[in-house]
Amino acid sequence: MLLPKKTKYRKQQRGRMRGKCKGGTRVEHGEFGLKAMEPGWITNRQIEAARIAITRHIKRGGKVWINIFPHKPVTEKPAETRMGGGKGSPENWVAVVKPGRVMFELAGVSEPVAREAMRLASHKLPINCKFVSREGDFLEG
Amino acid sequence: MKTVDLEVKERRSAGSAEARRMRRSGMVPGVFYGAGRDSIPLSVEAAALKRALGRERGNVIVNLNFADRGETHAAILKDYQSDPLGRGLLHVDFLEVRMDRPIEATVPIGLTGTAAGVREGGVMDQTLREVQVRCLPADIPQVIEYDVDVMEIGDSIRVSDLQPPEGVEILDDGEAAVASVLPPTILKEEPTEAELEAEAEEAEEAAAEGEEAPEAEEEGAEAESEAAPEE
Repeated sequence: MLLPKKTKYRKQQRGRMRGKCKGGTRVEHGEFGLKAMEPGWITNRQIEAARIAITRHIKRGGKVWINIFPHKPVTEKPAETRMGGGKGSPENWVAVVKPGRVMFELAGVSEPVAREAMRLASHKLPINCKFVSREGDFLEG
Repeated sequence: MKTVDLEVKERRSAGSAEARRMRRSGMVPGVFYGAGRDSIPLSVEAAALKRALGRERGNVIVNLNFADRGETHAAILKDYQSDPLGRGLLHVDFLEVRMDRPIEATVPIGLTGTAAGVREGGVMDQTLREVQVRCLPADIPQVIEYDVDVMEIGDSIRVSDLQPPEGVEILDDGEAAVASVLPPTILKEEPTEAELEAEAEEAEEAAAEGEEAPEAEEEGAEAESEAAPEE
C-alpha cells in the first residue's frame, strides 16, 4: 500500500479542490491512460485496488505506471465520540486529484485490453474517469 | 514534411475575456512569430485547425494565409495549449520558418514490426518517443522508423542506432535509450497445479517424519505466497 515514508506534520487541513489539473494531463510514459474527469480524494486502498485490477486483467506483459501518490493524511474521530477534544487521529492516506489528471498509464498491450483494464480500474475509484490514449491525445488535452 | 494551408485572421482584441468569447464561437486564439519580426496575434477556426494539424500530429509546415493582410507565411506549430478535459484547443503558437534555413524540430520515433522477445512473452518498453532533429524544414521526416524484429529479451536500442534520412541530424544524446525488451512480468496469484503437487509431496514426506511438521511447512508456504509481490 502506498504511503509516505515520513511526513513533516502528522495532520493536514482538508483544503479545497478548485479548478482543473495543471500538470500531468497527458499520457507521458505509456500508450494509454486513465484520466480523472472530476475532483476527488483517492485513497491508497483505491489506488492499490485499481492497480491490482489492471495487472490482473493484462496478466503477463504490459507495464503499469501510477502517476498519483497519497501524500495527504486524513483524520477521523472514533465512532460515537462527542464533538470537541481536538482533531482526530490520522486514519487514511489520500491523493488529491483534480479533473484532467492522468492517474494510471499502461503500455505493451493492445487497445481493447487496455480499455477493459482501465474500465475495471475506474470501477475501483470514487470519481468519473475517461480512457485516453497517446495517439488520441494530440490536440485533445 | 507535408505542407497544409490554413486561413487565419489577425486578432485585434486581446485579453482573457475576449479569448473566452472567441473559443465559445468556435475560434482558437493564437500567435505567429519569427526571427526579426513582431509577433502577430491571430485567430483560427478550431475545426480547420484540427483538420490541418490533427492527422499528422502537428508535424507539418503550415502556410498561414492572413486574408486581411494579404500575406502568406510558412510556419510550424511551435506549441499549443489544450483543455485538460479534452474539450478543445485553448491557444496555438506558430513559428515562422524559412525554407532555406535549418530549423530544430521534434520528430516521433516509430517502432515497426514485432520484436522476437515480445513474441516470447517480453514487453517492449519505449522510453523515448521523440527526438530533436536539425534540418531544412522541407526535410523534416514525419517519423524516424526502426525495425525491432530482431530484438530479443534484454536487448535495447539507443538514439545512435536510429537511421535518420539524409540531411537530418539528430541532436539528442546518442547514448540515450530509446526502447528495450523487458522480461515478462510474473503474476503470482494462486499456486499452479505443479506447485500444489509439490506442496502435497512435501506434506506427505513431512507426515512420514512426524505429525507436527506438515502444518508448519504449509503455513510457511502460504505466508510466502501472500508476501510475494503482484508483479
